[in-house]
Amino acid sequence: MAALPVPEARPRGAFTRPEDIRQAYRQFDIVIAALLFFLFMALYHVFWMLSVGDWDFWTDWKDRQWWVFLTPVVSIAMPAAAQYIFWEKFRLPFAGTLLAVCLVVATWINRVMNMSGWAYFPLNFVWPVSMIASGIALDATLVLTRSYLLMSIFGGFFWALLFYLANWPLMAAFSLPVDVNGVLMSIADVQGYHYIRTGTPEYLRLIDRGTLRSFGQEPAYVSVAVAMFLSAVVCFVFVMIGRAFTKTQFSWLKRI
Amino acid sequence: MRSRLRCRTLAVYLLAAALAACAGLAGDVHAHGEAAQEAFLRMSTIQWYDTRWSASEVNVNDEIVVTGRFHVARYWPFNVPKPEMTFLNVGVPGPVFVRVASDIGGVNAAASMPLELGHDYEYRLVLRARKPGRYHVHPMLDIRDAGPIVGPGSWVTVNGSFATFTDPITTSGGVTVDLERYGLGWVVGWHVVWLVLALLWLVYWLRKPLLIPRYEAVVQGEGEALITPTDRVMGGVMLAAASVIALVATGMASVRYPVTIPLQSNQAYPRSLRDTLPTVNVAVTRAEYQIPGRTVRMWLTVTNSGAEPVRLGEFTTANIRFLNRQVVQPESGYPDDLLAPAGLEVIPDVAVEPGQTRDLEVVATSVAWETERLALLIKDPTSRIGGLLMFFGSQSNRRQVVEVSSPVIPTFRGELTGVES
Amino acid sequence: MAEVIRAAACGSESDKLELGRWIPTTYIIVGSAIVAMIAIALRIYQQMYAWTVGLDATAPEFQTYWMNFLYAGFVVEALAATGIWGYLWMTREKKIPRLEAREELRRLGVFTAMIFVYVFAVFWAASFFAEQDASWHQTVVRDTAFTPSHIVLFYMTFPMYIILGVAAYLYGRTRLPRFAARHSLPWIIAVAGPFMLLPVVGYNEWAHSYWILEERFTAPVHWWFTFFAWTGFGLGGLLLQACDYLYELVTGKAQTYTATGSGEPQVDPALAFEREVA
Repeated sequence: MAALPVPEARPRGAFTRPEDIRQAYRQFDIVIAALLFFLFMALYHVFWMLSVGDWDFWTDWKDRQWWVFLTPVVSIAMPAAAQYIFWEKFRLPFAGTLLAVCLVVATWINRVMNMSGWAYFPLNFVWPVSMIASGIALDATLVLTRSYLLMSIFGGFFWALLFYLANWPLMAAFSLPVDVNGVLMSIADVQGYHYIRTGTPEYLRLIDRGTLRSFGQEPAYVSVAVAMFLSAVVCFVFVMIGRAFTKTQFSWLKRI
Repeated sequence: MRSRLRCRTLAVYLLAAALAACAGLAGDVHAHGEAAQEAFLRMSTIQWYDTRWSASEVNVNDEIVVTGRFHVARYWPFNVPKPEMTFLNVGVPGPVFVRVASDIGGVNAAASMPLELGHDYEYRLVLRARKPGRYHVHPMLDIRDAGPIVGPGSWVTVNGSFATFTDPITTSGGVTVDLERYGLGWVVGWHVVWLVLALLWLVYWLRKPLLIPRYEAVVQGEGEALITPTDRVMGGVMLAAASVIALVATGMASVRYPVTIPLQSNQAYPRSLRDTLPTVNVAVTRAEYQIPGRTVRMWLTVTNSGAEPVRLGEFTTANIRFLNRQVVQPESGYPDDLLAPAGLEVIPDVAVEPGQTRDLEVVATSVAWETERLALLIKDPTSRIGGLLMFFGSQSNRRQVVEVSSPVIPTFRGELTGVES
Repeated sequence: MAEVIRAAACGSESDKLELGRWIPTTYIIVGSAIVAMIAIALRIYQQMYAWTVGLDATAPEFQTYWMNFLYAGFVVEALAATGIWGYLWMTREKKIPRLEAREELRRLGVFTAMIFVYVFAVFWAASFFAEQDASWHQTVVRDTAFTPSHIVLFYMTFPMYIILGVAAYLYGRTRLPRFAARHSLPWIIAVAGPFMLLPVVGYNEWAHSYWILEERFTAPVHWWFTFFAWTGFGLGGLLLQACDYLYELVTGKAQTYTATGSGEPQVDPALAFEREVA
């Protein structure tokens, strides 16, 4: 069967020398890479802060139930969607790490300049988590399996598991027991008690209040287990969302 | 080219100067937004009284104590969620003070607590000064789903240097740490480790041609060739490295912090004041307030079932205190802007004898009615006044606190004369 | 920004195109520096006046330093929008001529630079000042919709990126043949979506005034913000369109797709309609 004739886009292109063409493409790479950095600092951070932000803002929200469960399950959505775009069209498996780096830079800027610099909370009360271990795992499972389904399953599992393993050590330092006027509190609880937040009473925290029946075991493991499963599901769903966005590549409208 | 370079250099200097200017710009701080809350809300929910501040000027690291009482309205507005879960908080602009102790009725108020309608509670807040400045310090109660009810505020000046503030606490393991700085190095250190690992992975991809060459290969069906065996090995190495580092971090934490507890979600049950039951009974026949004006009038029927005569000495609502100077002299320390030392006129201003029922007209006048925006009651969907009347025994001077609640009607007349405001 | 607009209106070629540098990085740096200086100036204003006169909305000082500041911001935004959009519109070519590849590439470079500055402004709004809102509202008693953090976030940084996004949209619409002939759906999403965050503010304030009286960020009332934040992914679709466009301009060849899904074209569809206007 004869091939369809390919129309010419222009009588001649802007460049003819291969080195100029390479340079033009490389400049595009650099500008777009910088643009993506700011774009994902904006999009991922705003998505993050309005979904799991409260647990991330304060040490006295980082509990064994909601922090450990909600943070990975919700936060995998945007990297999953971005991963589809970059892998499907560019074979670039770096969206997980890229978004995690963007997030950690954006959150640290805010904690230093605003939480501490404006509202005067000590940084050891408002430190953010790092999703980098999770992001690297998501990227690595994609490049190893080259499958969205297997990335969702194994990458999702690792996303949630490594979130806990990488961030629990940070929180461990603030989980030491303290006797405060005859009441047992962790160091994180004492921080929340000492550093006055007029708009954030104690009861406002969405934390484990003993509703997770632990049977004498560590309840965080139960939270991690369900987070691993749901992260995989959410990952696959949002890979499909990413797919929907790539389909708009060919959508040109005459009227809006 | 040179001018462009100069422009960029200037921009960098300006940016640096601006960032430097961001730090350390602080000055006097003013009151809070309690006056923006609806008048009916402030008058009919939590009534604060006997509020005292132990100092008006302290140094960084010094303590002040705020004590007082509050009455939980028996006639709680139906449209406001009940105080089934509350938290004793402090109205200050952020952590300029550190709360080191608090209690309600002697019960540790680090926990959230339910309160009972119609009861009175005694509270105590111990604050340590942290940041120099001049601050309005209020006690306040956060009520779940209803929001904050702010008590009266008084100015406190903090002198000294922020850098000298320390917040030592001792763990159950006997280790004393400065809560202001503890643990930050550990957290930042791990963040740096993860960032370095991430940059390795990102640079690995960014150093190659990134977009168009790869895009062209993919759309022409040659995308699979873009992923080399080296890429896959690198992916495996990164996954292993991330996993190992995470496990090492967990192991180190287990050794360094062997005994940890979860976040504590204490609840507590405060003890209310168990004064002798009041022997004065008050019914409000009618209540009015003037627009424009600073006056509230109430017509009361007062029955005294006690053994001694009583006189009406004070009416307090929404932190404003109207005093009958014939009966009560103000103590020092209560904010002047919330106090009308002679703002209460009782007609007739005589004692109600034991066993007697007497009709009294009460006229409360103060500029605070306007400055605290209680005159905006006319904009509320519930035109109702609430507050506390304080009767004093003529012989024993024993105080009895009686809650009142009544619909209130605005009247459109000029101000009364002859009453000090 | 004026430099960007002036250069966009001129039809001169840049020497840098000879070296394969077709995106005017000076415009990116200057545009971003202006956005950064505005944002930092706003941040400094907050540092000076938020804790001092911004806590009590009923105080006269609040009117002076914050409400007047807000009204002045509205005036500046109206002038900036009218000025920038008006300039782009009034200096457009009535009919886009048939362009040499280099000239069209130069314009694509200016378009890319404008999108960069737009995204940079979105960062300041959606990341820096948005999370700053938590450090205010979880710390103080809310007593007005026009708090020092809201005034800067909702009524200054949001309009700033809206003005820049619409400006970039207008530039593409009036200077680039394929964007003039058709509206790019992903690009529309990426401009209209973040714009919609501003109406969502109205819903947010209504909810906070009437029933959401406590300050958690993770509350259903805020979910519309996250929904419209996702529209930024439209830039992913635009990136793919830009890759096709760039390839065609640089090489002179049509973009073809050998490995396509069902329903997808085999040749870049933009080639069919971009000649309608040029």
